[in-house]
Formats: sequence, structure tokens, C-alpha cells
Amino acid sequence: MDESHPDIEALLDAERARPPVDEAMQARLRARVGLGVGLGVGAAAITMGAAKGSAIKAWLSAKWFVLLTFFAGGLVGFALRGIVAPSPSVYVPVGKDVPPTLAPSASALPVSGSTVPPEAPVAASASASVKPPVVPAKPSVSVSASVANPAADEAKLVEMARTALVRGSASDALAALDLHAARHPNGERAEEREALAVQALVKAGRADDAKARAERFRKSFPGSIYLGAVNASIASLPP
Amino acid sequence: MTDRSPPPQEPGVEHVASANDLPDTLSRSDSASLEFRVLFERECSYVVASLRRLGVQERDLEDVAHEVFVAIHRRLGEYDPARPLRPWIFAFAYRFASDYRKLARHRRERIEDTVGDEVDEAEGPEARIDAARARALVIQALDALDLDKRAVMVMHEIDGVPIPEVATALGIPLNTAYSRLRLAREQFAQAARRLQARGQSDAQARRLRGGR
Repeated sequence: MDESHPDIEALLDAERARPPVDEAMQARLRARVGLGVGLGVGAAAITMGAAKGSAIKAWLSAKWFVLLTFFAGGLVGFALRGIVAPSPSVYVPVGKDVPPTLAPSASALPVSGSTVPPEAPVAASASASVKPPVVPAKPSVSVSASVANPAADEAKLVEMARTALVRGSASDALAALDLHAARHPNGERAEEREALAVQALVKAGRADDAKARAERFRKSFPGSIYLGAVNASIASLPP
Repeated sequence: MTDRSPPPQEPGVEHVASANDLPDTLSRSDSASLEFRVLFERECSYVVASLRRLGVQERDLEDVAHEVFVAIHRRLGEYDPARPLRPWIFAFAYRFASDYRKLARHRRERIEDTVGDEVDEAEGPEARIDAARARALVIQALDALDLDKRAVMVMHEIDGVPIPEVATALGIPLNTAYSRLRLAREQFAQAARRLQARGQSDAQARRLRGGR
């Protein structure tokens, strides 16, 4: 702040380095704002209903969805007060892999580097349950170009994969990830996709594929925030 | 008005196996919901820390943070992605902190409960205690400022937001922002030194009592 007051600057440094909020409070808040499993749908409903149809509908959907959802969220959060750790029944993240960027309409945040070889993910996680991706001949660009809002499409596919993974459906997760890889091989969410793919392959019991993909991930994203989740996933494989 | 009608069900989750069933784009509602989720995960700590720095007491942090996130959720569509996110979020924290401090019961009480705040497990025990003390002292010194100066001080000196951006986020003229910053720095430094001196004399008194 003021170079002549190093003691004050040291104090401010301590405050600048304040550790993140504790997990228990974050979990309670997450539930209260409707981001727990199940309640997330309610939170989405707020925006879904907010502008629909007539003024009355809009009023009803916006006002009542807001009130009801957050009232419900508040109740859940209140019930969770005192519970020390976040419960998987409230919110089940895959590892601790929070997406590194906001979806595009709020993309003022920095984007982590994402350069994945286009062929790698598709080849490694070919899933039996998915038809060949909509594109391959002219890979990334043309596929992305066919999507009206690529960044939103990316977010949707990654979220689908994450949800499927949480449900325990590795094949569905891989299908969504394959589609993401086909449409957006070098997209903003490529790093997240690759991390999820490793976890999905592990869950599918495809140990060799998982290890190979994890290896590629480590090379492509050596400083990734998802490395911990990837390594933990590989470590969970039976010897 | 944009049609935000919901998709038939939780988007595609049950139908991922058929790639052709997948919609090409997110509906606006899905997108907003996902953005809010990501925003929450990224900025929860920032919101809580900002509220604490703006004078919300430890025991009320969760409730006020909840209100902030509800408001952010409602207004997410108004966020201009061309502008930095945190000052926009801070403006919500500032408004709710302002409402909070208007309550007489909150004005009268001082923040004394901030030593037991978040802990950085990576530090050693002594370093943790020192850092927690320093953070508590900063919060107490900030308490000596009125909220307007405090907000400028926090945004600029702690969050590192440039003053023009501070002025925009808080809706004040640029000169006013600079003026508040200058006064805030002076008052903060005075309060911090006073608190440090008091802490040292208290420690000395404890040592003397212990020696008897």
C-alpha cells in the first residue's frame, strides 16, 4: 500500500492470502442456493421460468420459483448446519474438479491452456454406445461451426458427462465426452473433458485405456488443477 | 422476450447413448444455471472473504453470503462479460454489507471473533497463528473505516482492483474513489498501528503477570 509502511503491507499480505472458506460452510451454502443434487434442477427452474410467456406466467414462475426454490434450499441448508463435512448426498463433485472457467457469456475469467491432440480423446475413449461422431472427416472447426453456441455446447456436454459419471454410468459419460471431443477437440473445456474421460474409463474398468489417457493428460496439462483427480482415479485401479 | 422454456427433462442425461439425440446448444436457462454453479464454486470464498472485510460478523457470514448469491443468481443475466467478474460480485457484497450494517445491533458490536477463521493447513502452527492474528488485525483496522472508504480500501488494496474499476463497480466518481482511498489508507494505517501497539502492550502485560 504505502512503501514507507512495510508492517502495514505485511498485514495486508496476510489478508490477501486468506485461505478459502471451509468446506463445511461452502457445502451448506451450496445447498442453500439450490446447487445440491436435485435442488440444482430447482435452481435451473428459476431461470427457466423467469421469462416465459405472459407477464403473469413470468411473475409466477420467476417469483414463485425463486421463493420456493430458495426457501427449500434454505431449509436444506439450515438442516445441514452443524454437519461438519459436505455430504455426497448434497453435492457430489467428481474429485474436486471445479471447471476452470465460466461458460462463455461470463468468460472474463482466465482460461487455462487447452491443447489436446484432436485424435487422442476420440480414439482412446471410443464408446460402444455412441454412433460415430457427427463429423470426423473435417474435424474440429467444421463441427464446432455447426453448433450455434460452441461454448454453451461444450458446457452442456461436459456437464452431461459429469452427471452421468456421478450416476455411475461410465458409458454415458464417455459418450458425451466423445461427442465433445469430436465437436470441440481443442475447446475451452478440453482439459476438463480429458480429466473426466480418465475417470470414466477407470469406472468402466478399462484400465489400460485409462492409464494411457492419463499419461497423455499429464503431458498435455502438466499444471492442471485436475491432475489430483486424475492421479487419484488411476491410483484407485486394482493392481 | 427470449423463450426460456425448459427442456423436456434433465438435459440429455438419460439419452447420451444416442449421440444424435443431443441438442446442439444449451438453452439459455441451462447455460445460466451452469454459469451460476461454476461462479459459485469459484467465487464462494471470495464472497465470504469480501463480506468479512466489509464488516459482516463471523456468525452472520453464511446468511449474508446466501443472500448475496441469491441476488447474483437473479441478476446473472445482467453481467457484462466484457468487464471483470469480481468487481461485479463485490458490488453485491457491498450492498448487502451496507444493509447489514444499518441494523443497529450490528453497528454496535465490534468484530472480535475473526481469529478463528479459515486455516491454511499448509502452514506450520506458529505461522498459522501469526497469519490468523494478522488477518484479524486487518479486519479490526478496517472496522475503523466507514463502509464507503472500507469498500474502496478492500477492493483496491486487497483485491488489487484498479481505481477506475472500483469507481465503476461502486457507482462513484473517479475523484471520489481516489479521495476515499487516500483517507482510507491513512485511517487504516493509524488503526492498524494502534491495534498493534495495544497487542504488544497486552502481550507485555501477560508476560509480566506470568513472571510474578
